Amino acid sequence: MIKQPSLDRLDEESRRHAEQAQAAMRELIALIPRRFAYADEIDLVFRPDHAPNDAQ
Amino acid sequence: MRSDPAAPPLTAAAASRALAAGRVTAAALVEDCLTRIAAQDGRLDSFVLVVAEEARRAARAADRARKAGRARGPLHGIPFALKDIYGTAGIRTTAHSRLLLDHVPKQDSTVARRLGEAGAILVGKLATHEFATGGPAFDLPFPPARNPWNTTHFTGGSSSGSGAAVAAGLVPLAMGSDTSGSIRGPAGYCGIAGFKPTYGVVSRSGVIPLANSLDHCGPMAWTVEDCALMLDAIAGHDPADPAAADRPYKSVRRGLKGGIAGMRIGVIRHFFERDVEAEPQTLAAIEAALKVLRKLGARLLPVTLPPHRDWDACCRVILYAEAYAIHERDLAERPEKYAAITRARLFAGQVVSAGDYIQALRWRRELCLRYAEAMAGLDAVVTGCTLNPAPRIDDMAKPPFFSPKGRLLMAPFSITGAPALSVCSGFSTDGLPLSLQIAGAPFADATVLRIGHAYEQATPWRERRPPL
Repeated sequence: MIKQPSLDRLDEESRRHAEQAQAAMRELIALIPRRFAYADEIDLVFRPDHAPNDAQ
Repeated sequence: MRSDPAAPPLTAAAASRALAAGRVTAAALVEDCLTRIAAQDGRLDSFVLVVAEEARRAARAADRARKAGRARGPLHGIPFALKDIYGTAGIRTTAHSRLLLDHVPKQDSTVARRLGEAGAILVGKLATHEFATGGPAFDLPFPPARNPWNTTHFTGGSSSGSGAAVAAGLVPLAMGSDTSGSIRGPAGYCGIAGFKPTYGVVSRSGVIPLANSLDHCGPMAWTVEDCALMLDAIAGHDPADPAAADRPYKSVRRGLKGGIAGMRIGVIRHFFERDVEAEPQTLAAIEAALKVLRKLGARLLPVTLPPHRDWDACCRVILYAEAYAIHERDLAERPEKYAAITRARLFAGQVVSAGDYIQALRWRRELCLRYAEAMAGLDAVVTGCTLNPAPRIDDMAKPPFFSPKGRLLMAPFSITGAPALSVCSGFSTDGLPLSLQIAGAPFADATVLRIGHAYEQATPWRERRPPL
């Protein structure tokens, strides 16, 4: 099994900093709108030279 | 023929003209850089590696080639330096990290190769925040770069060494990279020009990545003209970069001096007046800059976009999810090798779920559409960049290492992939640079640079150098 990063393997100070960063990231995640429904058009690929409504 | 190290450093454009006219040699230009580096960089720590003998050899070869009528173009014989994430064949490339101290690429990055093919001369590798995402840190193999305007102050990052070295006149040209402001931030704090081209215009092949859908490579120089000179040498499709823009590249230097009379420029005021408040001197400098643009004949129009908080959140969720994926193995197996600030920031990406990431990508698409709508009928937009003079470096190196509120106006032009330029807009009462940001629609790089050049020519900021 591939080893995953874990806060448990950090020393106490590093863990505290990482937890603070993760808490701040959760605040940003909470801002993401969740209004996109499964029936909406999905266009996940970002290309600056696509016209906005180009199909993939 | 020698350059005079006691004189103000030459811009790349001026050096290019002097080389063509036979008033200076490449050997003299390189020696000038090496002398300045030796004299100043002990205080600035902008370089992590200087390749003096290689640079001298390349300079002698460049002079011989020019004498034989084989000068390759305007960058032939011009010294430059690379942020130490750009792969250089046979030359250590560390990303300023303990993890890559022994990493010596076998191949040049595309940018390094194209600059070499243009005849430019690599002088060394520049300090960066670790993996282009840490921060100024004192627990890394190399010290953090310092701001030449006041060495107790921060350069901005992550292209910290690039900002410092160019501002101090150690090299005329440097490459930076910008994922969410890493060219524009140091350009702003160090008082130079820094350009993030449209996403995909400059190849990222051979450059250590941070976030693949957000990474941009771009030039940093004393002037906008020099940025344009460098961009012309490095831009253009590269099949080795899967995100490379697949359209012909047109020189940005050709129309650079055309002026801006009649241009329609949007002003995104709410970004720097309400969403993230600029401190008073920065605000005054932005207003003064807008007056200059009006005087140059541009028509300024108000623009409203979604609040900056939205752009910043969307950008950082995507950025740190992608960065975490890149660093996942090292965070698992050797997290202690990272600086504390880098490690904390990368671990932030661990809490972004697949659902969060996909929703952020959809949000990104929506924000891009809002930007495209706002840009309709406009040649460019102007807004703030760094919103205060550079802070003290010691304050930036302290925790907390990740704030939920971004204080730099970078994200909108990162997530849209739009071209964006930071130019010096004046100085604080403490003598620290202030900045302005000019951005455009994707692939309007030439227009953005033209506006920046016109503004620069109409203001006295390029006459002032750091008091080193």
